[in-house]
Amino acid sequence: MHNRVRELRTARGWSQAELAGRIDVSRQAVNAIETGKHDPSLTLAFRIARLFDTSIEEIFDDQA
Amino acid sequence: MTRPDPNSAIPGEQRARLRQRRVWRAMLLPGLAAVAVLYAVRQGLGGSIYTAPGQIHPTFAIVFSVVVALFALIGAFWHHRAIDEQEERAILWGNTVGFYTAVTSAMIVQTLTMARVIEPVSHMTMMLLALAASVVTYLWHRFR
Repeated sequence: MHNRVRELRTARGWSQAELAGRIDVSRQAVNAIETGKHDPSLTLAFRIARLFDTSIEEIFDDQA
Repeated sequence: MTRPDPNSAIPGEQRARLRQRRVWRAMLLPGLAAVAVLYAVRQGLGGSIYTAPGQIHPTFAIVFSVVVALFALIGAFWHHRAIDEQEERAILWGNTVGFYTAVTSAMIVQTLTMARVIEPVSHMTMMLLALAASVVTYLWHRFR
């Protein structure tokens, strides 16, 4: 699934490890999400959206 | 499970390191305990439990099985609490492939052995084959 996680993360100047710590997953999980190899669960998607202060639809797009 | 505050004063990278340490601790402690048990068994039997000469005493076998099951349960509980959903998915895929490898190889080996095409294969060898398939799949899913 296409997503804007990397774009939002880099805009804040965070490393993958920094984001991983903030959403309580491993750095590998952040990398897998950013590269589209892992689609996060609804719970994790909500956590990511809240962290970036936006909605899930603004970050994840299953039709791109 | 309570999640940490994403805007906590502790830097994310530090929290990621603490989290990683939790995962390693969950994996290493039961692993070290298992090695200690197997070493003690080896000293007591004069060889590996699977290749030791002579018959194993039933009481010893039962106690050994309970200890191994207990360590496995504690380890699985700790590990499950420490991992994230991406690793959980990698483990599920690893286990699925390991299961199919075990079932398929058992059926093939049994049939070929019954037809006397091949010599009987040790169940430990087949378990190791399934384990190897499981580990390779897990690593590929986790770190690709």
